[in-house]
Amino acid sequence: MSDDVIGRLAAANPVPHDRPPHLPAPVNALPPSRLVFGVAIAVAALAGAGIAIAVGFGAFNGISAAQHPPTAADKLDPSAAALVARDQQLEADSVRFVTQLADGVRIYAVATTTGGLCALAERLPNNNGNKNAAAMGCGSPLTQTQPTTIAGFQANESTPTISYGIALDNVAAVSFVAAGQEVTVPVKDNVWAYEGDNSSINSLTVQFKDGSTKTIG
Amino acid sequence: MRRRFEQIYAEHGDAVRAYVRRRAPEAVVDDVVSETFVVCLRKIDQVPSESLPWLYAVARKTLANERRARARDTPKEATLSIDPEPVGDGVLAAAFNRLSETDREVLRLIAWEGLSLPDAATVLGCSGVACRVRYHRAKSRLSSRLEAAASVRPKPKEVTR
Repeated sequence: MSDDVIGRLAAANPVPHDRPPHLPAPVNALPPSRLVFGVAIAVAALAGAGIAIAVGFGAFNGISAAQHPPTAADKLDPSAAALVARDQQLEADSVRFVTQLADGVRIYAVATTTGGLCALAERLPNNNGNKNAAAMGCGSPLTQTQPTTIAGFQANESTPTISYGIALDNVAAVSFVAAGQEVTVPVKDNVWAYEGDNSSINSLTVQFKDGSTKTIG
Repeated sequence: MRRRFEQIYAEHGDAVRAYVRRRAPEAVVDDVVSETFVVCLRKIDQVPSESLPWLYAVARKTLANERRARARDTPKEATLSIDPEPVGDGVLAAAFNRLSETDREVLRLIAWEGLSLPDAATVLGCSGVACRVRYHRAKSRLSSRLEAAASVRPKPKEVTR
């Protein structure tokens, strides 16, 4: 089992050995006329898909709360926005507000340039008292076999760790065992949150609205 | 001296970049890789013949310094981090992400960098025995989490939030 685990982990390498990083971009060998034609086709396709692009990203499929045109609510705190903008892994204009937790922490969905999904928690209170810290976790887009993200943050030493996740529309709740206790947390606006360290969460089970369940970790 | 440095860079430049990309946001990769090879050039006389684990160790320390510097230089800014995680296997990613960083790092070195345990010990700055113990415990914890994921089905209970 254990050696299988290492093999399984090796297969999930985010930067595999057989694909050397930072390969130069392939040179487009098309003659200029064909290149112009190709660009025209691409522009036409983009125009046709314009509404879809404005509304959402593929990484947000199944997450209704994140599928909306850009609004004022999507605007991040300037410091968090600057960090997102300068990170080349993220689609800077993909930030979508999802929901706000009871303590004022705001949860956003962000798409990566490779189609991945990030859950961003913003307006966390710093040690200095300012609510301008943020934390983010990224991974593959949600699927029926991986219907929720799971991440955690501790804004400062005096606040508890919060575990949270963005879940698909058909997820009603998540259950898990934390510190020996079985806990069920409802999903609201595609988000669940729990006051407790996510490293202590075991047996995370997703409960779908149709009554079925899926244990994912 | 210069020829040796060029040889090391040619042989291991891609591997060091991949190591950093597995652990840090893309925005800082170039800086960390550059700093790693600056240190390599400065200490070229101390670089062992098997240089890759030594380079990983330098990159690891450079990454830690970079994280500290960012936190110190921007106290009023958000602290934002993107931790690359296992891809294409959501169950594994969920289990892996809930391990401690110590556990994750030794598993990454073996599974993702493909290092031997002695080489991983060089990177981590610990003895071979300590690294072996750390590795087997980390592997066992990951296995347990995956087994639990496959077998346990807690029943819904009273809603808490």
